[in-house]
Amino acid sequence: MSNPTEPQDPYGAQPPSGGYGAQPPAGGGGGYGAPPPPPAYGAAPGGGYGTEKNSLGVWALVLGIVGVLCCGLGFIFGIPALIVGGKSKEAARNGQANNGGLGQAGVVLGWIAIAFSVLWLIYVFALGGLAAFNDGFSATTY
Amino acid sequence: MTLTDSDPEAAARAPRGRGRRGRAGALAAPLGVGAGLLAAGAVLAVRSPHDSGSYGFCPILLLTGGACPGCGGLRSVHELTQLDIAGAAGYNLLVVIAAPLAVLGWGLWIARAAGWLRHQRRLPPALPWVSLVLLLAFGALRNVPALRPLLTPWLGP
Repeated sequence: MSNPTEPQDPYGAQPPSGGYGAQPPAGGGGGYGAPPPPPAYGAAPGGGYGTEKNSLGVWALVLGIVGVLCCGLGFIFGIPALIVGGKSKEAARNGQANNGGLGQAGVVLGWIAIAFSVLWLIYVFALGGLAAFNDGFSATTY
Repeated sequence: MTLTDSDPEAAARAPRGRGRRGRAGALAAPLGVGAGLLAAGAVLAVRSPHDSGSYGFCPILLLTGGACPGCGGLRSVHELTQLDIAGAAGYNLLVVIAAPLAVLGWGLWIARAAGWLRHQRRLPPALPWVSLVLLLAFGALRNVPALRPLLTPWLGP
């Protein structure tokens, strides 16, 4: 969203084994029906949209989701989501992935997870939440 | 750095596309993560998470009364550091399953960064989604009343 030239392909997350005739005639060389090309070490950056680093975007998104969902320790998953999401966006810029949007989503969710967990820890440890809950709730450690 | 710089053969053997960063640079990330996890484990081994609120509360458990997929995780790691696998599984089964896989994955990460792997294999593309589904399923199942004594015995009925 910050980079309008980024390929925003909402179907990028689909496995390449999708239907043969259903895929839209997207620009670039590789169709979905073709097997994923071997890691092209010398691929020219900026040339067509490869998919060999699409897994980064998926990982970023999943890490971000887990970070937001799971506990007050969201930064445990949020920080990796930021890192992997950044790598995913970089891969998208270099033409090695076509799902940079997923990486961006992972980065956003990662920040949300970090912010949420930090606020929660501040509340529990600095603002007296610990003392307030400690009386009535005995079995509430992680 | 100097090793790979002065040895073009080694650099040619490991064309990982990182070029400017040497092997030492590539190893920094996995070694740093490993050191961090080890330090976290040491803290959990020494400072017991069994005291209520010693590491804070899980907001999901506090607000909903149900255990989230990570609840019991710190206590589980603590039991693992005491080599009590059954006890650890009682607090959080997922941690006990994931810990050896994490060690294996970390070892593969090291081997890959060091260039010991002749054939680089990619992780299966479905792995992140499968992990997410497993995590959510565990979080749901451990709060089912029938399964709670099995998966979340510490929470009580």
